[in-house]
Amino acid sequence: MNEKQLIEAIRKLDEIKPRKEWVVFAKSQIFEDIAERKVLKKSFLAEKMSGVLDVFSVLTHQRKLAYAMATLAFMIAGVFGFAQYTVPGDLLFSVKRATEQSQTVFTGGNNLKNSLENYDRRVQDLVRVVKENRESNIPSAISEAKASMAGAVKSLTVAVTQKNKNIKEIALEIKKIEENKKQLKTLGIDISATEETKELDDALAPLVESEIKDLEEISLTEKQQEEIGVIKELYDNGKFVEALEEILLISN
Amino acid sequence: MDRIREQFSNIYDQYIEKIYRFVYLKVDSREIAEDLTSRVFLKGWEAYKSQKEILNPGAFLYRIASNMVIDHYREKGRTKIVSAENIPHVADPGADPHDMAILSSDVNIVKIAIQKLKKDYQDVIVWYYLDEMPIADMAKIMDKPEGTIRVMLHRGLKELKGIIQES
Repeated sequence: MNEKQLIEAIRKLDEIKPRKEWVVFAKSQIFEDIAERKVLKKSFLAEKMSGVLDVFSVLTHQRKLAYAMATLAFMIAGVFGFAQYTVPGDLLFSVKRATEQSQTVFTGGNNLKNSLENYDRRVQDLVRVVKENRESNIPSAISEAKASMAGAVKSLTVAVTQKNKNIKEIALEIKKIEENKKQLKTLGIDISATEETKELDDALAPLVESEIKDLEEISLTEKQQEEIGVIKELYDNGKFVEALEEILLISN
Repeated sequence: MDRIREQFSNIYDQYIEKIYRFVYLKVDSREIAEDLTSRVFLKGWEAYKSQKEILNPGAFLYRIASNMVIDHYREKGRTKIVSAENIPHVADPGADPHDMAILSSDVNIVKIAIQKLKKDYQDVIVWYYLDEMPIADMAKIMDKPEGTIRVMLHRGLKELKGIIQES
């Protein structure tokens, strides 16, 4: 290779480029603080406006009031309908979130299930926002996903501590959380709720220890004994989630 | 603040590919390059919004990137730093399969060879031939006379040719 060819080859290294999704995501992370403040300001103004409309409807005549109420009802229905397609960062997203929460209250369901469903919805919102390249929505979507993940992990910790669920159910719920995290990682997004995850780990540790003791007391095949060794290693390294998954496999 | 944000947003758009490529050629791992590059711009943004006077944002970002890579290797314990001029960077083992798909074999050989160069030679070669940075700018970043930069370019290219021939 002569000098000219070498220089040409060096110049061809400009084919090395970063991933477009990562470029968008990294930019949004840098400006996250400022965008969050703008979103908060927008929802505050929206709340003020709805208060003004309430006062106005009271002051009109009854017939006019009836027409106004009917129109308002249609508008609200339209807003709620439209709000279902919004994502974090959109003006009407708070309407969507309120609808989801009220549905939860009316249909019942336990706290853990609701937290996990909420987390799932926020993750899908974030995935959609990144794929559609909606730059201005990314910071809010990330915040919402992080908050919902923290909520899900917290609910799970409570369930583990209060022993509300059996080990299989716990492992399945943890798996759902991890799968969502993986899905986001494929898009170059890493959300972690470090404090909450640590609390969950602290709750899982005695559970895993107890399961290991139970497994050691029963008679196992050679292969299962090997697997116990793997589980113990995971436990010693503080990888309680992975240990739990292995315990589930051995128990089935 | 909006004005400053917009300005830095333009700087980001202008330099993101260049800084990423600069870092990537030193660490040879997409994940690490992404992580370090976003930290470069975060640090740059912190300095920019504190309204420090930054006359040459490109040079400023490259300096941060260069130091970030040194810190990365220092933490990993891969290099023993004696002086800033003689830091050989050893790339993470295994080329990125994505690059192997898009770069021809010749270019891939050159990429691997660049990673074996001394840090300063890597920098000048990437800046001059890839980023088309003027010698004067390089001299400011490295705090060296322009003549020295020209000599480094010549020596860097020669050493690169040697590495390629040996391999």
